Amino acid sequence: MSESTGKSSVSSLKHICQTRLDDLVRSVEGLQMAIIASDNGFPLASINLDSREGRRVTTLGSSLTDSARKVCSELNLVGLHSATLETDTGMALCRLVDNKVLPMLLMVIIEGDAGGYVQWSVRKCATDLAYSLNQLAVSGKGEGETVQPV
Amino acid sequence: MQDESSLTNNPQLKALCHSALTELAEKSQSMRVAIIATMDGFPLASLNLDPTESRRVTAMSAAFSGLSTRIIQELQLPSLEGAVLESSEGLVLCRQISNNLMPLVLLVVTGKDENYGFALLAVKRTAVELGESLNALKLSASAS
Repeated sequence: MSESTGKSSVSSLKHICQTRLDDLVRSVEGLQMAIIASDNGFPLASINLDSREGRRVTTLGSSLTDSARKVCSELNLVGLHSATLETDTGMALCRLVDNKVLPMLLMVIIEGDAGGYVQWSVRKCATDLAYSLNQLAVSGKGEGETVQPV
Repeated sequence: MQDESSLTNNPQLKALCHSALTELAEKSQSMRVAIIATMDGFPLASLNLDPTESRRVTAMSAAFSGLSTRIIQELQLPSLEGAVLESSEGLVLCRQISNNLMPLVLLVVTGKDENYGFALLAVKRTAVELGESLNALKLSASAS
């Protein structure tokens, strides 16, 4: 892959992620921040976060899913989809985006009475994102992508 | 607060925890495993697990709980109430049992057919009711 092709595929990847996050923000009330990152912790798109904070949050999300995978494995459960932490006033939700381009995490922090609608919206966002990424893989623009720190 | 080691061996406490788990299992559609443990991983009561497995699972859940608490602090969110892990084969629901005796945690593993909302509600309710019973237990112990 040439350098220019590589750059354009990374930018289309980031564009898809940012579009999905924008859709999520419009549909959910009380969303404090949201971020999509590679599962090893490199941010791809975010809402209400600067880049430094973004890296800190994705590192936390990455540790959370890693630990959640270990708990599931101890309990003989395979295929982790999400890990949700609930607090008095909201929740932190980390969802894996299963796709053919790059293993990704969608992390969202919601304030207020976060009911089932939020869970549904985040799941839909991850499913829609996976669909778009798989389309990108079919078109050959993003397959085998490696994301480096920005 | 009483000495924690004497409390974890208290038969009345263990019976209360076990009865809470049995009631929860009756309400649940596909509960596979349930444990009540101290926050540092000492099991008090369990369903469908032998003692060795209980210790292994509670040790892992104590580590997960510690990491979750740390993440919540880092994100400057208020105190952790619980965690839910969703997998292809079922849910893992973890809930803090707020009470005056000692910090406890309820961990429930369901099958894949379990309804998310219903399981969450049942686990929340069990944790609240058990917390209230434990507070009452302390009151009766103080009165005697």
